[in-house]
Amino acid sequence: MRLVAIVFMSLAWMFVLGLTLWCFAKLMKADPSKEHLPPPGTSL
Amino acid sequence: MSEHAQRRERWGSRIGLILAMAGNAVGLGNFLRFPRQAVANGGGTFMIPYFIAFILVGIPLMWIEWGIGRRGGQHGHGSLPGQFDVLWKHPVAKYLGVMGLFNTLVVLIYYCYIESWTLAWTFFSLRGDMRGLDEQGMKHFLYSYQNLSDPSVHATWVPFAFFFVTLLVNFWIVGKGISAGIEKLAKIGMPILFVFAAILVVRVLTLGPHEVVVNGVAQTASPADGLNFMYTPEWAALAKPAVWLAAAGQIFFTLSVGMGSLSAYASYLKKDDDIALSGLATAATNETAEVVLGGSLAIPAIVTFFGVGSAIAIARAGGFDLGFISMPLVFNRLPGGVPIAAAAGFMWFSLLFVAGITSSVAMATPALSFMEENFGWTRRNAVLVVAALAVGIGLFHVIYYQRGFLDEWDYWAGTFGLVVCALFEVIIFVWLFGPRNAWAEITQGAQMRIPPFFRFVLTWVTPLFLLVLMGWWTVQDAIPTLLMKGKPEAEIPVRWASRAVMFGILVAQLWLIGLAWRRRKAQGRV
Repeated sequence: MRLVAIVFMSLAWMFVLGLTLWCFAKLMKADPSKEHLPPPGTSL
Repeated sequence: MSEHAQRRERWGSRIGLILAMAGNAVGLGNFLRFPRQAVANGGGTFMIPYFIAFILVGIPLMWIEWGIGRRGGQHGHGSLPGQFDVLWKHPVAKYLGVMGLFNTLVVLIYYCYIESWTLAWTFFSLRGDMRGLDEQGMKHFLYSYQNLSDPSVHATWVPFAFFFVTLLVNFWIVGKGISAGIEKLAKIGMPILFVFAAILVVRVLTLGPHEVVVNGVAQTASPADGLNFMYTPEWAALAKPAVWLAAAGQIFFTLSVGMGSLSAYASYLKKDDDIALSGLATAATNETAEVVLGGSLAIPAIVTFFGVGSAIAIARAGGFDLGFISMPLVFNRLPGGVPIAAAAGFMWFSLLFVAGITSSVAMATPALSFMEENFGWTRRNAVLVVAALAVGIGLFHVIYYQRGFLDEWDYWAGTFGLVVCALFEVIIFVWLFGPRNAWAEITQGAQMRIPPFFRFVLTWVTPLFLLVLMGWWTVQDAIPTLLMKGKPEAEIPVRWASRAVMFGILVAQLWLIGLAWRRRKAQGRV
């Protein structure tokens, strides 16, 4: 692969994967009380 | 909060909500449209306007739709007519919201037909029906399916059967409701989609060099050549407005904004549920599916087996040729013979089917919510009526596909209608509801800090971008499409009939909105 193609592909992948991982890491750290689960016994 | 709003169904979990939202966004376009757009618009250079459009149009519109939906849901509205009415107290507001019903219903009907092809090809792959076919054979295999007057490969009833099964599965899922139907589908379907796509990407990228014949000269090609082709920048492309608009258009389609389905899903949130981080996570998940998986599959595989020249021709021929002709040809040539070809075909078409169905169930949601909330229908009755409508009208797509019936719907509702709807959303939510209120709505319950720069983007940049996009498309495409320039004479009556049916749907929906509000007024609910 050409170096310039590698650079473009790496930057594109790093941006989307980085953003996705950052979002999900932040979601995991979020206060569980903010998660509005259905009341116990509610069938999904 | 109204009594009806309190009785509304809710999402079971946040991960379920995000997967359902991402499932709504991830569709056939991530795997079939994106690689073609990238190749046709400057390769690596396309990524620059693409990501700029993602930040300036995609993410803001995602937040706007979530904001509109959550706000409307507090007042018991799961579709845009009611949601617009909540934001802008003007008699016209609800009628502008018709775009959220029109786009979703129209696209749902023809999208299910395309989705049924992926189901059919999953079945054909498992049966090995495409084994040993060359390019002409593969084309004939697809075109015979699309053209009912040519039963040489597929019996006439086959496309109808797969279409009915697809609609049945779709409406069975939406009939089960938000949490037990749509959320469950997303929790099962989305991991399958990502796993199948990841397996195929690894298989494609680990292929060795193959000999391809270009203009009678034998050359070797590898997946690296395909990635070179995808990502090597053409700097001159950055100076072309068409490239910037193509990038903005791709962002628009891929995130499913301007449809009315994201706001329908968001209406099942509670007042303080986060939308900032969840909306961003949805957009980011979609981009991963598109750039990392979609961008590494079709083009590198096709370049490896057919060379760059053929890949350009295939990309120009359209997404369906790429997905339904070229990819099965690639699978037939994979090392490992018949079982590997069958397994790869099964994974490719079933991932497309999952990408399709997680989007189509979202498109069914606004119409069902509208009938339930405004006319007091049960979910079951609403599902039966919308399903009957989809079957009845969908038959025209199956019968007249090759005469442009579907093309008209895809352009007026699935392309132009989305920009019109998005423009209405931005104007009503940001300008008429007020920039301060819009910002407060988006940041309420936020579990991330949205950079203040986005306030300016939401207020000025996104609407301006949409206006330019709409103006460009009107001049470039809408006028020639309206005048049917270059269309064969034989297609013109069918295309007019197609427009008449669409217009009929629009008028019927406007009438229903008027009726619903008169009913609400009589019941003291307005």
